[in-house]
Amino acid sequence: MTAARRRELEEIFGADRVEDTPITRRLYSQDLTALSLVDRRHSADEALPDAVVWPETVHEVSRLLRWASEGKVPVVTYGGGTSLRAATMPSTGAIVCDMKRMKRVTRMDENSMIVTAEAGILGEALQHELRLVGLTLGHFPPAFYGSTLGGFLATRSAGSLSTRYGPIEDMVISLQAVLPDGSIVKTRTAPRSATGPDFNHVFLGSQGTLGIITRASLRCRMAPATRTFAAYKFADWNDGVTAMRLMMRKGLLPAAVRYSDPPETARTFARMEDEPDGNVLVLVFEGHDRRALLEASIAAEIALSCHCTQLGEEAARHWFDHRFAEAYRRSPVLAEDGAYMEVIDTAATWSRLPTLIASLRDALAGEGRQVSLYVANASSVGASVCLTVQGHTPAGEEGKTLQAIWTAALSTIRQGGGTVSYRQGIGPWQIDALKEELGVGYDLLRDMKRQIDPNGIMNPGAFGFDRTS
Amino acid sequence: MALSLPAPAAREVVDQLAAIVGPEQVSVAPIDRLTYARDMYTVAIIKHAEGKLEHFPHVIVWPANEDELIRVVKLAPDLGLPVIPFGAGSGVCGGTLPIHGGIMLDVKRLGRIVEINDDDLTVTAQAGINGQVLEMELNRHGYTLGHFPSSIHCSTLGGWVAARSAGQLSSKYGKIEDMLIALRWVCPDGRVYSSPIVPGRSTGPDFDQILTGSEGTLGVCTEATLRICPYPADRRFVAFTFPDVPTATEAMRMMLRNDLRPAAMRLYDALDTMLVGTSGSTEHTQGKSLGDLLQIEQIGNRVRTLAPDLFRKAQRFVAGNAQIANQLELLAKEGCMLILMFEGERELTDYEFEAAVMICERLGGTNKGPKPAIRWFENRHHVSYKMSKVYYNGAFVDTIEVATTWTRLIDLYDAVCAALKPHAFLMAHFSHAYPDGCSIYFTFVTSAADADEAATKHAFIWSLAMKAAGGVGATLSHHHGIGLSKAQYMRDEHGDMMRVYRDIKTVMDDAHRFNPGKMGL
Amino acid sequence: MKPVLNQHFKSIEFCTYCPKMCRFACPVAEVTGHEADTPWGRQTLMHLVREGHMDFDADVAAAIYRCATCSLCTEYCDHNNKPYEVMLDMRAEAVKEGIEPSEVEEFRQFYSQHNNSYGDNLQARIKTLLPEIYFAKSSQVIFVPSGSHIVHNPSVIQDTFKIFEAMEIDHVSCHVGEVMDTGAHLRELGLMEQYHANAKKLSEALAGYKTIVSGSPTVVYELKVMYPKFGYELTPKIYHVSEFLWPFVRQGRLKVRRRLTQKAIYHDSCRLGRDLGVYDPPRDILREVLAEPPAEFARNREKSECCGGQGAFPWIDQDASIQIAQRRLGEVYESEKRLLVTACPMCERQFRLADEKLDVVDLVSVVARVV
Ligand SMILES: Cc1cc2nc3c(=O)[nH]c(=O)nc-3n(C[C@H](O)[C@H](O)[C@H](O)COP(=O)(O)OP(=O)(O)OC[C@H]3O[C@@H](n4cnc5c(N)ncnc54)[C@H](O)[C@@H]3O)c2cc1C
Ligand SMILES: Cc1cc2nc3c(=O)[nH]c(=O)nc-3n(C[C@H](O)[C@H](O)[C@H](O)COP(=O)(O)OP(=O)(O)OC[C@H]3O[C@@H](n4cnc5c(N)ncnc54)[C@H](O)[C@@H]3O)c2cc1C
Ligand code: SF4
Ligand code: SF4
Repeated sequence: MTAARRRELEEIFGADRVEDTPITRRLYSQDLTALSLVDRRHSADEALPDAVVWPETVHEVSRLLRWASEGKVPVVTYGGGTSLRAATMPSTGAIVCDMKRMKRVTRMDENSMIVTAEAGILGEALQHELRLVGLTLGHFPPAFYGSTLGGFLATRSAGSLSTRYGPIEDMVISLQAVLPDGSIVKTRTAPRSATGPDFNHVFLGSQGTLGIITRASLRCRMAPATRTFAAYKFADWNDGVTAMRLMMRKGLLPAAVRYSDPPETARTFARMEDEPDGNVLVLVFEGHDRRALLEASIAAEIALSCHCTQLGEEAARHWFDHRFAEAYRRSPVLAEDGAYMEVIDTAATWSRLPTLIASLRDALAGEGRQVSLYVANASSVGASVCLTVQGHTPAGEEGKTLQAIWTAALSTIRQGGGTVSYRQGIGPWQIDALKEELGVGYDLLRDMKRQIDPNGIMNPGAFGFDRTS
Repeated sequence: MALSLPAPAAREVVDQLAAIVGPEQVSVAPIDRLTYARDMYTVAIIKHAEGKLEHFPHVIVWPANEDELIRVVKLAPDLGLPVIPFGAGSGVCGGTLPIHGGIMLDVKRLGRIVEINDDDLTVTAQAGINGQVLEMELNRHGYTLGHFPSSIHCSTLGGWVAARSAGQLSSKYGKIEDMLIALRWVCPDGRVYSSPIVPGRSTGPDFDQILTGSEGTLGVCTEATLRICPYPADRRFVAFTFPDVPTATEAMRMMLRNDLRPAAMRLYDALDTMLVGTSGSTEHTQGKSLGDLLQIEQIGNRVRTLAPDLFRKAQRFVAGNAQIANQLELLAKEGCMLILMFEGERELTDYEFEAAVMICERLGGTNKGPKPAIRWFENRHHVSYKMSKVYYNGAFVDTIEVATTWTRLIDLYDAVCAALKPHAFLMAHFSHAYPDGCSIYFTFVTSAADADEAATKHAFIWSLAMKAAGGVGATLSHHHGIGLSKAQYMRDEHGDMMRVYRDIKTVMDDAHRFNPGKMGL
Repeated sequence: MKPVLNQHFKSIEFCTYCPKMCRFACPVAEVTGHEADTPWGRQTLMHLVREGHMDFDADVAAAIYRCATCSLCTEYCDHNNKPYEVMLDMRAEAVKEGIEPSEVEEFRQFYSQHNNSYGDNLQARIKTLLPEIYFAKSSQVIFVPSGSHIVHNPSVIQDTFKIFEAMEIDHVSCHVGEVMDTGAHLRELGLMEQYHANAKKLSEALAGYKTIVSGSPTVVYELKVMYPKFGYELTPKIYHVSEFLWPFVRQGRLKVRRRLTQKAIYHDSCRLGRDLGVYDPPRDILREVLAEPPAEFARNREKSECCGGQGAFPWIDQDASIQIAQRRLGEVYESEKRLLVTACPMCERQFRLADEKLDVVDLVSVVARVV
């Protein structure tokens, strides 16, 4: 970065909140994307940002973007950097805007159960503040400890209890954002409204391409008074799926429904004594005592009518207590040369789900490879499927193998009526499939991006929106 | 003297459109231009009746299917005419008023149910389907959409989506945007946007939610997929009275906070309670309109024949004299009535019912038993018929539906009451409640000598209401939308976010061909 | 025209200011989607005419003919408004002013040529359908055959007498005479001059009897409700054949050989149901002859939807009238093959026109199958 540029940034942020040391630049040049992690085992050339800045106010963000727009400098917004979809990978010459110093809870409306917080707050920190007043956001994605509110919003995140609490987009009441030209915009804090399009949705899922989200107000719920657990084992995989569907149809709202196939069951309960095996459905109900018990008993009736055996509640409790464990699984695997591991998620309506799952299993099966999956986040309409593919190849082949896995998965998903991404957003390797899924919708998103960000400064490359590509 | 309508679309225009939809389905006849000249916007109703409306569509077309509709949309630029999507014209904000003339694009012949999917609990239907027809079809197959706007008899699915409609049971089932799974949409340039039918996705911004609420400014909805529910196995009813609005709203808040989801949860303020007469003991006022209450109708029918002019003047005086009308409040000894209905699976409704009763009783409510609630349920469509009576009696009526968080709710109520009571007869109910907040539905009645005076008075009252609501940070519309009548307040509502709206408009409809002059664009 | 509009002042005003609450029920509005085809639309045009904002011209006249007079709108009107009454009165005005649609003139000519609404020489045809003894004038009960049955489905009339015979009801004779048609369509199309002439003659011809029976709800409605309204009071009691038969059936006079095992669904005709209030006799009779009680449409009885054949509407817009019938049939197609039963020749004909392969039968013919 030129000294002149640095000076300009220092004018906005002060010297201590602008960094362009090689280490910092390197640290911010990566996220947790499997493809790039395995690639980096073998090559060191990667795009480095020019500098990292840490805004503390919306006005600083505004000034940054105005400056960047004028100079056509790419800006990559960075939350926790936990994306698995290369969402924060900078292009050369970019400025990384790390949001984590904007982390205040600015308003706690306990009466209306609405929390307003800055976008850089970590999931855990936000939840902590809520716990103090007896509320919960109910948003618990696996990377909860290290990901930020802004990241949740920008990727339309969902957590392990989203069956009850909804994905993040359902919790957003209003937000504040800075447009690429530096103007500060916001939406109204009202339970619902009919005053035109829902502009929250311009930014939700935008993966940093349309501006920077600086603040949001979210619906919370009362912290649950009670929690009940249950687990069931199904001999026939599809019976378990049916049981989930029937529960949702009945209007039950479990906090979690999670149905794992045998390999996934084995991993989930690996550290448990007397661990269950087979197709296991875990149910967690929470909320008011009577309601939770009532729902659990209705759920039990449904499960049993679908040919299962009841497991003790221990299994469900174990899953609940270790539900962030998923996030730790990758490191040991990926530390090893030649090893790879990827998480692929999709969602489909109930009528398509069983076939989609079967064809995904077929498509992804391979020598020396383990495919495991679970179905979760159910609604009356359908549910999500999360697949983990793990295996070994000769060192150097990992990237190619992962690419092949993705290609197979995406075409199977497209054919089976699933979505290219249930949560986590879109990585560069998903763009073609995304275009297919959205059709004209993709063109509209691209055109909207070009209109709102004519200089193309916001996270260039994301979604394949650049003019050049 | 018969009205002289401005020149309609030229012969060639009609011919070109007829080549697409057939000669029967395109019209420049005055009977059609007049019946498509307004929706249910108060001022337009009065002007229309007095023959004072100034704007009429150049031409009306009724495409039979999406293909024809696309061809009409694609032809529009060549014809140089604006395009206005038209559902059933039940909008109350002038959303379909052809203020620049143009092609009235009626979507109602796209009225089929495409699929009811039992596994997925979804219905896919074309946008022109009438709401009640859709609900009856679903009922017949054992489902409900759970969407019951008071206008369900007279509005379309496309209109609901276009204006972010809310039904009477929105506390349980959500608003239309909450039910939406996927959309088909013809863009202003004729391209077809179609979103995938999946239970959730993270594939960039959800354009469905950007198109929803666009009220004809971003193109035409042709199909929607919505989630449905099994028809409720059970219903439980109960009603409570509370001494005042704040106590009652507190009970509502507590129920929602504790995860209860009554299908219906309606609180009437003291005046509304008395007039709507939902309470068991006020049999005499049950189902009466303001006109009835002042007994002007009975006297009126006799006087009308003798001296029609005098009659209208007398009524207008009473209705127009807000101080007199609002004095009625002194008669309202009932307090506020809260109506509750639970529906769904038996065990769950039982639980919710008992829990709700406990909360209401603990917070000072008097249990009035199920009757008032049942009566509300059975007569829930009656309110929409009352419009006729009010106008017939020489007055006019409009509703203002604003919403805010629980914390600011009473401020909102007080502010709007204070602003409007000197100028109009005003009552309110709280009928769409959520864990985070609630909407207030104000009904005002007043009168004017003629359409021009009505327009001025109406605009004045609205400006006071919008200022009061905006002052406490409320959203200016919970479910009626913006259309023409509230367009000027869009800037207050959205500030610089209007830029984003304009950007989207530029991308989709740079020429402002679709529904020009609306939404403050 | 003004006095007529003033007379309907309240009705017109209520509709004009109404948010079109009954529009979903109006079959014409539902199939065309045109706002002018809603009850609100037609009434609003009347308001504009009354206030002098519009001329009462051929276009407006055409609009008021686009009501099938099925009266379903009234079922959904809190004010019990009857827009079709305004339309009927205004059609007479249109004819007076000579601005009625060309179809009305065509019908007028058709009627004067055949002396009925269905073509053919009904007087001659009916004689070929039944043995001469049924035309003896001595009986106290007279059966007035439907012109539509005579022309389009004469077997229903034969079945009727077959049933009478089987049930040993031998005091019924069949009407035959110069006037075979009640002239309902004349009235419905506003041709009041012809209507009066026709009604006068027919009412005189029927005056001597104690009881009148017809298989056509249109005939019953006209004789029982409309004739008196226009000054042709008839002393005989007037029944639809289902009302007439039911007491005999209940007495056990109907000897059912073997109940029909076919599944059936019953369609209420607008005239028979809403206008005459006859809902149960046809169902009761069906229950006696079917192995399984008849299925119901989701919208039945008071809320039954029109077949499109009501109010001479097919004369005005044949296409729309058939679309209306097809809408109604949607439900019949959905389930396993079912016999569609109705007790009205208009409905039967409409449904057959809408789908020639459809198994649609008059109630009487169903009964005839088991005796
Ligand atoms: C093991 C593991 C499991 C995971 N499981 C899930 C899961 O179950 N569900 C799920 O939803 N996600 C999951 N994720 C993905 C990830 O945690 C989420 O996408 C998370 O929301 C990202 O948050 P972040 O703060 O780390 O964002 P980042 O990774 O820093 O950024 C993600 C994207 O959001 C943009 N962004 C960040 N902040 C802002 C802002 N303030 N304004 C505008 N744009 C912004 C970035 O530019 C980038 O495009 C998982 C990740 C890991 C490592
Ligand atoms: C008595 C009465 C009671 C009401 N009660 C309620 C209520 O309880 N809840 C509620 O939400 N609303 C209510 N409304 C308002 C109104 O019914 C709704 O706004 C409804 O959604 C409008 O539907 P419509 O089909 O009549 O649309 P229209 O009035 O025809 O159009 C409304 C707007 O949507 C656009 N539009 C229509 N169809 C399409 C389409 N297919 N694609 C794109 N744009 C389109 C039009 O251009 C216009 O801008 C009520 C209205 C009345 C008169
Ligand atoms: S008949 Fe009744 S419901 Fe129908 S438009 Fe007229 S007033 Fe409204
Ligand atoms: S009588 Fe039937 S056709 Fe005529 S307006 Fe009423 S519903 Fe429509």
